[in-house]
Amino acid sequence: MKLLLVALLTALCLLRIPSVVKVAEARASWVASVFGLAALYVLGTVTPLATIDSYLGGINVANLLQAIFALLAIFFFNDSVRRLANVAVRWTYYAPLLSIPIMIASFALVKDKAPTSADFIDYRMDQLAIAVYSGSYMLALLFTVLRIIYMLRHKARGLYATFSAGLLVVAAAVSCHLTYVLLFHFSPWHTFAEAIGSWFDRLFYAGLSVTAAGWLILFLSKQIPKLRLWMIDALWLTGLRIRVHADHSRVSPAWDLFNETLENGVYKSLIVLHNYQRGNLTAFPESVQGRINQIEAKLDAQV
Amino acid sequence: MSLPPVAEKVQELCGDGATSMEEVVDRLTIICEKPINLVEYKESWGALTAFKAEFEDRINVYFPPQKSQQYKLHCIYHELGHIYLESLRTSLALPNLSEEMLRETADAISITCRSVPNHPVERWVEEFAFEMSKKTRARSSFEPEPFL
Repeated sequence: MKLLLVALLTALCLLRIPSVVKVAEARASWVASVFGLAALYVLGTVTPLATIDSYLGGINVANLLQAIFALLAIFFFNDSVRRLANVAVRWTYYAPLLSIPIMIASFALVKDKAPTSADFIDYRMDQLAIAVYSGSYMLALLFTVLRIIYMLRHKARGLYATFSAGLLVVAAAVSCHLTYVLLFHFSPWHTFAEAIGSWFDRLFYAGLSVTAAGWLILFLSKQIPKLRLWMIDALWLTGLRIRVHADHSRVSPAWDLFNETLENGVYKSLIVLHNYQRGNLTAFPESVQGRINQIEAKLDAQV
Repeated sequence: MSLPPVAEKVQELCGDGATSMEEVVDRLTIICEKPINLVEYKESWGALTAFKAEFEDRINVYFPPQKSQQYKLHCIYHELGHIYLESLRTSLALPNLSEEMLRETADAISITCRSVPNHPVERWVEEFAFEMSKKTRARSSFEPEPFL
C-alpha cells in the first residue's frame, strides 16, 4: 500500500510541474505531495529505514521527520481545499502546526531512543513523552483531516468525492491510533489497545491511496482534454512568432509557452501576432491567416 | 519611472475571480468620475490599434472595426489600462495620432493611444490587458482549480 502511494504521489509530483510553474494556486497542493513523498521516503519505503536513520544518528529521528513531513503534507493539502472551497483563514488555521514544537520537545524527552525501529512508538508506549509525541501528532492530523472533510462538504461531487471518502478512512485510522495511545497509556487494557492500534497502518495508507488516486484521475481527466485542445495550436503559434520575429525578445515566445497556461499562451500569441501585423502594416499569407482565424474562433467558443 | 505591480492593481480594481468589460468600465467610471464611452471609429488607423481621449465631461475610447473579437477587446482593455494608470497619477505615454484623429479630439484634455512600442507604460497597460482578458475569458467557468 505504501509503494502504491509512493507511485501515485510521484506521478502527481512530476505531471503537475508545468501547472505549478504556471498557476500560483496549484502550488500548495504540489508542496503537499512533495511532503507526502518525503514522509514516505524517511519511513523507509524506498531506502531501508536503518540506512536513513543511521545518517540521522540512529536514534529514530527518521520517525520524528516522518511525522513532521506527514503533518505538513496534510496541512498544505488542507490549504488547497480551503482555496477550492473559498474558505477564509481564521486563527485556528495554523493551530495544527503548533503540534510540531510539542512533538519535537516530547521526542527529545523520550528515553532510550536507539536502536532504529519501525515500531519505535509501540516499544516505548509506556513513556509519557511518547504518548504526548504520538498523541499531539495524531490530534493535529485528526483536526486537519476533519476540517478538510468539513470544507469539502459542498464540493465533494464527482472525483472530489474520493477526497472525502479517502480522508474519512484516514480520520478513522487516526482515531484508532489516538484510542490506542489513550487506552495503552491510561488504562490496563493493553491488548485491546494494541488490537485497535493495529488498524492504523492499513487504514491510514488505504485512505491516503484512495485520495491520491482520485486526485491523479481528476488531474488526468481535466488536463488531457486541454492538452489535446491547445497543445498543437500553442506550438504552432509560438513557432510563427519566432519565425516572423514578432517579439522584441527572442526568448518571449518560448517563455510564454512555458509560463502561461496553454489557453492563455494561445491568446497571448494571437495578440502578439495581431500587434506584429498592425505595427508593420503587413498581412500573413492566406493559409496562415486562415489557421489563425480558426484558432481564434476556437478561443471565442471557449468563452 | 516606478509603476505599480499590474496583478495588484487588477486585484484592487476587480477583486478575485472573473469580471466583464462592462463591470470594468463601470468601476473606472466611478474612479474617474466621468462616463467612459467605447466608440467604434471607422477612419484610417495606420499602425494604431486604439486610442482614448479625455474631454471635460467624458472619456472616449476609440477602436477600429476588427474581425477578431478577442483582439478588439484586448485593444479596448489596453486603453482602459491607460485610464486606470492615469487615475493612479503616473506618467502618460505619448500619443501618435493621425490628422483626422487629432481633429476629432481637438478639445480633449489629454490623449493616449494604443500602438506597439516597448515603453514601460505601454508594457504596463499591455500586461493589464492580458490580465483583464484572463478574467473576462474565465467568466463562464471561473472556479479555482488548486489540484490541477
